[in-house]
Amino acid sequence: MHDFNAEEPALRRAMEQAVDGLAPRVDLVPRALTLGRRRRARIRLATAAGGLAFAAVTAALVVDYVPRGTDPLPAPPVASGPSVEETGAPVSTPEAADAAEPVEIHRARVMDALDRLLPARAGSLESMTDGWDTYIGVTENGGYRIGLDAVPASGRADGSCTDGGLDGLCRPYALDDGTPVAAWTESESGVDVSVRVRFQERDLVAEIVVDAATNPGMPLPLSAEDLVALANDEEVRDLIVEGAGLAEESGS
Amino acid sequence: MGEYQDFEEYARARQNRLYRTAVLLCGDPHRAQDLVQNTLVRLLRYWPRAIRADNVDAYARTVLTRTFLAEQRRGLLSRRAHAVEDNPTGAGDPALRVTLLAALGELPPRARAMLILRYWEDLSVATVAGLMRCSQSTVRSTCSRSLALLRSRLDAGEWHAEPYAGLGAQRSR
Repeated sequence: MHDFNAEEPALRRAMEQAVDGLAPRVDLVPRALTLGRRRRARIRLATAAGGLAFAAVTAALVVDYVPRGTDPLPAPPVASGPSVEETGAPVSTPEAADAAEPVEIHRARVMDALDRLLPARAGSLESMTDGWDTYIGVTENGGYRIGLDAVPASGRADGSCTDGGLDGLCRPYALDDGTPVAAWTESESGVDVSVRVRFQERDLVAEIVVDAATNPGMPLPLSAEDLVALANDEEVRDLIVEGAGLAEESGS
Repeated sequence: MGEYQDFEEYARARQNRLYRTAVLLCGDPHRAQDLVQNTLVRLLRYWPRAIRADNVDAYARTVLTRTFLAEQRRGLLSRRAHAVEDNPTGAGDPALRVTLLAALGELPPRARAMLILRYWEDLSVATVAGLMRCSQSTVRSTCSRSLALLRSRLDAGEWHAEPYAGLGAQRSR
């Protein structure tokens, strides 16, 4: 029988000798500090924003719950206590941010980016719980869906219209760095019902889709150009890749 | 001392070691650099928790391994993983490095990670099992199969290279 125990020191020595003295070409610490600080700041902001929204919703629910009658009522509990404005956003420590669910933090950051980058006609945005990285936009004409996704590039489209495989009309665009983008627009009865842009991001094919198919006749509030502008944002591209990783980890 | 300063000192002291582990995992010095960069960013994100851990090195190693496996799953390392490009510094033994990394590249990512944790990081079977979230018997059987494959790929001189004896004691952590 083969003596694997005797081989272990030999393998260890071979590994030592193979990589002995290797070092990265550049000092990786300064960039890690820059990126890490930026990421922690974003998470703190997202967590604080989430906490503030939670406080506001809770306050509104408490106010709504106070029974209304003809008799003068004592002040509702929220009026006697410190207001949301007085308390401000909950203090978010790094530990609190670390303890928060990565998925929730991710969604908050995506919402923040969408709010910042999309035009006002996109309406108000909400996060959906059923569906990975899917968000709902609400305008005066109705609701629509915004989805972000990314899959490994192998065997899939790479961002050109020649890839095919999707319904509708495809028009080529490019990001500022020259990355090709394929924008597929699907129409029904002359009205655009969905726009889907695809482009290569690192080793993934990223996709941003806006879809109003569940609301027939509603004009899409966002165009292919809007989605290309979204894709041009470096943070959005990072978030798409991050979301794909979280989806993979969660098995969804 | 501020937490960023703590992190900076730790990262500077450990980045070479993490990089060597990453080279063994990825098989590509450039990808290894990206992997260590991502690991350091994630480590900084969880730094307050990391420094509360009993063993920061073990924490960093866990982050590195899980980042590697996650990036493998997402296909981020697949294209050039184990392309076996050599480092121009000429450090170590380039010929052995090419052979060993090519052999490691034949292993599935999880098996490769187990082998590296077990023999390069010198972790116990129980520790590797905990880190990889599998049973100890899985670690043993996977490492045995992986050792057999490596032995068949490395010639006897590389496998039992006497001049390398004693290097383990000099290794810097």
